[in-house]
Amino acid sequence: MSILLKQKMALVGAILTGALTLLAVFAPLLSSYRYDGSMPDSVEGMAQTDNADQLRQSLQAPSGQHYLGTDKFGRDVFTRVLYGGRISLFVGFISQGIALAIGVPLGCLAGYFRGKTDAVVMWLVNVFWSFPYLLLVLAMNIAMTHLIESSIVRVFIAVGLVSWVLIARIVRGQVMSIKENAYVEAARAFGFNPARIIIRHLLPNIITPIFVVVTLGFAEAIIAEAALSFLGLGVMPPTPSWGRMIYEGYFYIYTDMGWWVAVFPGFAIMVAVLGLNLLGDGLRDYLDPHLKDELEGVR
Amino acid sequence: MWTYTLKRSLHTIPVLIGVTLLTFLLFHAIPGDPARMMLGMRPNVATMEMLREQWGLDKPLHVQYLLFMEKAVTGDLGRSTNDNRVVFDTIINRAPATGLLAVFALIFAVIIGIPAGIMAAVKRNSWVDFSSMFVALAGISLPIFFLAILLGWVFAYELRWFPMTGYISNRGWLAIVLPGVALGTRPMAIIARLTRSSMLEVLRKDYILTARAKGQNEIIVLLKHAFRNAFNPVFTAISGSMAGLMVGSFFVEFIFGWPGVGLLAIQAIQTRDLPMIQGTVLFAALIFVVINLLVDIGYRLLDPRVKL
Repeated sequence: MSILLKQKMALVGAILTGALTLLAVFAPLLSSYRYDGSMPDSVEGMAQTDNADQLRQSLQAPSGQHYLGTDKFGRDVFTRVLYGGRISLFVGFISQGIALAIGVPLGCLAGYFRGKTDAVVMWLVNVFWSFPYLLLVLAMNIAMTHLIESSIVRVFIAVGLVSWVLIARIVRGQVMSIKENAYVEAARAFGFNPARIIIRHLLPNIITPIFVVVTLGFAEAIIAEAALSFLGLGVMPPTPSWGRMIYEGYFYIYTDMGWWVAVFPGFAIMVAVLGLNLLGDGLRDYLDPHLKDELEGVR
Repeated sequence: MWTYTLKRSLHTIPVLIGVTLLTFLLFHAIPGDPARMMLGMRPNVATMEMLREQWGLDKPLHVQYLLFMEKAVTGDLGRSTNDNRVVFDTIINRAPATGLLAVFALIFAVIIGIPAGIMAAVKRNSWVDFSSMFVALAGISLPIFFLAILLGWVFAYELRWFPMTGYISNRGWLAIVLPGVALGTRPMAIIARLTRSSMLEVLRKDYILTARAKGQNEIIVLLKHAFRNAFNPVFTAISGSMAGLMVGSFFVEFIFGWPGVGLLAIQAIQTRDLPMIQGTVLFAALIFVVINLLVDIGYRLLDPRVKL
């Protein structure tokens, strides 16, 4: 917490990220509309609206009733932006969880044992690194089409399987430098096994850099999800996703029928990613100038 | 220098093997039955058998990989399942448009990014600094397809300064501006941020103080004494952002109807044209590997202290 107060950037980032998270989590309390219908939630059994009703509600400009307007189907954009935030959060957390589960062990092994283990891990890292991030996410997602039924699970896995690379790189570098400390030497002299040394002595010291990488990875994951959804490879309708909302809405910008349908979800992505980047950058600057070199300029 | 170039080139061989192997696995092994995947939910049995035989799917995986490589090195990446176009030729035909767009984007990024970064560093904590860094951060945070849509909306639809879609052959050079700016914004932001932090570091050095003390012209101090020494990290940023250009161009080309490899890739993704998707993925990764190689060699030219 004290770090946040010293780093204004990180503080702003934390506030933005926190606020968006709260909005997404408490979406049902903040809006009386359904994300998949045009009627207020309170009207039970009215989820299926008839066509005439839909037309009347369709593409209304932002107003007191619909803060951010309505889309083609008369659905409340504000509500859909809130619920879309949930998808982004899910994708961020789960994909980064997967990335951690792969990246931390591999990075530890490579940094601790060096030699052949290191060579193999670094080869994998370099191969994954040779693909532009989003491209590999796209390819993985498409490759799994028939393997995994649920499109959102495919997004989790594809993003996770690509994001581990940066984590592994940072963990490896950190482990390599911390390993040289006297207390690690001492632990080794006591004859503790490597697993214990890594878990008890090394990992606790690299939690913060890992946190920084995951924060930045979270931001990348949100953009990746939006990009996949934009291309129709993300969540299935009517579940709202920011990327898909942009895709469905940008036609109405160019036909002058309603800029709000695409613009608000776009700004939601920007604010979320901006918040995470500010938080990650701020923490990174505070923590470790060396880490900065490793992270800067990538992607 | 030549030893370095040779060594660095040899280093790309295992990476190239890995890249082709991963692409192969993604498009041949993981989908289960690629023939089935390619033909959709209700495949014609005869076509499926034909495809299986044609791809040697009855053989063990490593043999399949070798077959795949044997064809790939001769430029045989198969044919589109949509319109039977030869994948390799189609990509090669589209490549110049993407290359042109990427060059324009990079020039834009450098021309705006470096001066903005220098200004921000010189006028540290002023409104110039804050506003340019805010714009830079926003540029990094905007998803590229949304930025492209916004630019199209404001500058093509509302103001009508530039054409909404099209290529230079039918719309003239104005057509490259919006896609180029959309594609160049992220690298521009990264370059600006890095130039700023690198300049800040150098401006603290004693030789800057010396140069100023002897009454050297401030412009010369900034450009000759400071920026030349601050340039290396900036060069890394410029080269690092070339990777982003490749994928960024997918979305930008799609929004602006720019007839490059990116538009081809997106259309292939939307129609599940696997050989074409595989071709564009492989193409992008290979370009990326080659650019990284060239950049490392160029880096060595700039700074002979660099070790392999």
